Amino acid sequence: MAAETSAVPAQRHEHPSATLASRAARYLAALFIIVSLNFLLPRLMPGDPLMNLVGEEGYYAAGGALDELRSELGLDEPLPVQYGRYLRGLLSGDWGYSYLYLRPVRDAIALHLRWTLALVLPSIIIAALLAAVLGGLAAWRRGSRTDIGLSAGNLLVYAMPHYWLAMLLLFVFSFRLGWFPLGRATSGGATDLPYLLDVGWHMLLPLVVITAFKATYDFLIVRNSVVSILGEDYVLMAQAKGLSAASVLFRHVLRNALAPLVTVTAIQFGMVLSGALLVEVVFSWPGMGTLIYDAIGARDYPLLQAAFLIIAVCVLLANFIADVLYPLLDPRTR
Amino acid sequence: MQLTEHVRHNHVALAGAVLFAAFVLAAALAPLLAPHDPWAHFKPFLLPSTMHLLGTDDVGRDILSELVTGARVSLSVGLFSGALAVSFGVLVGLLAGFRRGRLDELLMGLTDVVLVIPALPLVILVSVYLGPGLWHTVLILGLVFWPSTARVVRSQVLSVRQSGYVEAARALGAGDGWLMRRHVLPNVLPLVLAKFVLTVAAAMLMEASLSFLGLGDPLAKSWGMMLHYAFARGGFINELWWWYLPPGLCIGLCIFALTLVSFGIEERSDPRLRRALDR
Amino acid sequence: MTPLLTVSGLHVHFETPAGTVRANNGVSLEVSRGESLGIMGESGCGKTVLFLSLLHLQQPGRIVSGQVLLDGRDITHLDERDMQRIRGRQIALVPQNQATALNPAYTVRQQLAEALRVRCAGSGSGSGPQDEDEFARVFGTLGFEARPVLDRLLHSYPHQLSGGMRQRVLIAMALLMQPRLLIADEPTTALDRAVRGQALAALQQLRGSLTMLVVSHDVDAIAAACDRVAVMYGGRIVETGPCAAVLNRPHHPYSRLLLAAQRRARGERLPAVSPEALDLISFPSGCPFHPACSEAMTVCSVQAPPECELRGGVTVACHLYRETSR
Repeated sequence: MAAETSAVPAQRHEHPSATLASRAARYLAALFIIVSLNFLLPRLMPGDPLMNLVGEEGYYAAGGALDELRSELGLDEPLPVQYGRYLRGLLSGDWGYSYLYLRPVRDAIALHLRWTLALVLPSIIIAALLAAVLGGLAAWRRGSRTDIGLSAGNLLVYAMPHYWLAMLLLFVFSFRLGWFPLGRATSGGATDLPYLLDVGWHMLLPLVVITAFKATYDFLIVRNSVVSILGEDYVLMAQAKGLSAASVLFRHVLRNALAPLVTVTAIQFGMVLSGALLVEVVFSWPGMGTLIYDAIGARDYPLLQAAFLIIAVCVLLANFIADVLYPLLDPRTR
Repeated sequence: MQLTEHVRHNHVALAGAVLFAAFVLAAALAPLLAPHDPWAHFKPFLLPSTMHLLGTDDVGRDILSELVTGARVSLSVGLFSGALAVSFGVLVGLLAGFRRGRLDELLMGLTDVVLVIPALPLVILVSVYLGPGLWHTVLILGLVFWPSTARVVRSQVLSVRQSGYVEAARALGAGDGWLMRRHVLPNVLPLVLAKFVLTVAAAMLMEASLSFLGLGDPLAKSWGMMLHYAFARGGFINELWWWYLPPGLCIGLCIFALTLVSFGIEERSDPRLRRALDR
Repeated sequence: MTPLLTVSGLHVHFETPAGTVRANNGVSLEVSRGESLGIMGESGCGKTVLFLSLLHLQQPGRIVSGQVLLDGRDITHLDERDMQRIRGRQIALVPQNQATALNPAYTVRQQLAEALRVRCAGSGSGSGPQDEDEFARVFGTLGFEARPVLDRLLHSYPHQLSGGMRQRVLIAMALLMQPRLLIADEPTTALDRAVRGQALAALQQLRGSLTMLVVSHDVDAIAAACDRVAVMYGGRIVETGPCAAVLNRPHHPYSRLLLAAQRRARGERLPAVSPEALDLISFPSGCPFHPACSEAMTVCSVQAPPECELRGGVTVACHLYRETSR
């Protein structure tokens, strides 16, 4: 899930047809494709579409009533009709039943999604801030020992599979040192403030891992962005005006690095979310990662499909938000 | 060739290349380097000793041998997926850049859509249905990683086409083939190479993630699968760090090496120096 | 009266993978109070590095030797903090590229206000009505009546303005800081033909009331805006003198070539005059121009030419004039 971004961020806003209408069309097209993929995969992939739709448990639980189940789900109807049913089901919240969690898929997802978001959203913000400071510093002192040290350190953390890093941290700080819990989101039993603190304590290590994961990407983006900004004439002008180094760095350099950073953050939301999944598994954090892991083991396909759909929709949303934010940050694109 | 000059002058890229080559070599020589047959059963959960430098796993297989043999799987999946993705990306990029018009719009729209779909969840879903199998994995990864190469190639084609001297040559009758051979390919090659290197890294990481979740091929144990078993079969809970730390370390080192190489290939220059010297 | 700016023997070097680039090789000049000095030369002669060095913004270049005196004060080795006080308030720069010299993320008002704050040493926000009066006044000194469009102008972003307007904003920004020395870098180059006249008119308005250093390869700009001119080649000043004298009757062989070429290609970007671009790394010995000089003598390749003072306040660095100098 390392997005194959090179160190230079993709220029999303270079498209000549980047009008609001065409961008909205792109998102709708993406949504349509994702939804259709979700529809087609269980029906086209190897195996009985019925099993692909209800999962292994569901399949075996039906016992002898397979044919009834098949017609109940409309599998003998022509594809377009099935597609209509599928869309109606999606919109009405009927996403199937999970035999793994013994509840409707929608409920299972809702339960797990909030834990994932609780972990991912703060990580993204902290990572962006951290990267802005460190990346800006490294670029400012390009070529110096500070830069080399920061870049090398960044690269080291970047290269490690983040869930391996998670294992390492958990091993050192929880198993060996006992400073942090061994997993999960809470140790149970508390309410109100003690509950929040307890969750926070459990959240710290996974938060650190995901933040580090994202920050290493952001660092490269920011550093490259700032290096190129430093070569801009308006930065020279700011210096020539006699502004202090801090003023130049924050008001002029970082301000202009903001737009690409926010854009990249939103674009990489999918990557961060994907990364969080595995980290959650390591920490037994009750989020989408654990859901997917368990669902794979139990071959609970409806759960997996819904997970894919919801994650994809979140990513689309993040991209959309980035598109809305960009003109606010870069007056040139208004 | 200019490219090797770039890489040669750049010590960082060279170091990365050497490191990665070491892994490739180890993978190639795996049968010779592995102390035991990775599939042979010894006593399970043995601690590291002279006989088993990294101990044994939950069914008694020598971990070091698994590690060395696993290199073959992890590296080949990465390399093949990378090759597939980049080839496809180059094809799409060239088509879009040369043909322009509706085809270009269509291809770029497709590229955008594929880019926005979160890769891992999609790959998980497809893998779950397809079942385990190395070639499945290679195919899926290849189909997921082509867009950024396509983008890069296309923009290179466009910028070459728009250069004045090429326009003049076209006016004199030079065709697409000539244009591609003389101008596009030489310029695009370093970029494509950099993309290839990064794609291999990304593919290796994603294969490891897939395997960790249990979707890898149990008959071809990659490093990711080793991590999966270590985690799922009690290696983690029982603090058997010699089981789960080495595979992750190997993956990390390969990624590290590949990233170094890609840094070396990308051109850098100090804009301030350029500015002052130009005037 | 001491000159406002004195540069003596300035050497600025750049370390590059290909070798040491000697961008400035012993540049010496003087600018008196209220005077406007032009630095004329083609691309690569070192004029940019020269003015950047005055502001200590020549990085990654280094000032290896020489002295810069601002009103008698040695600013050659000031530390960064002291230098920040010099920049803007004492020496202000009007940059060449109006398209990229303004920060695209801020409005005109915000950037002008920033300049105003430099003058008032941080106090004041630049957002009060009296500040608007100040902005309008400064535009007025350029010959631009800003009041009718002031509001719209102040709220515009740089990309919404024309090139000529941006140039005015940049000049205004510099003037707001009330510097003692104004450096104008290629004031006409980044502008269209039609707009060039406006920029020149603005400079002419300022002439006399402000000490200026105008760096340009454009003869018209120098003639319009400057009292004296220094011709630069190979990191050195080869001829200095009153504009009328140097521009109409150039003495140095290079000056002659330069001005002749300019007459031929009026207002166009100057192609390199010498047959080969001068290699600032492997310098020719003696006079840097001798390989391309039609009047080169044997001594020219051996010995660096001395400064020869001629009549009319002209100084030439050329062996040809050794006898005729005082």
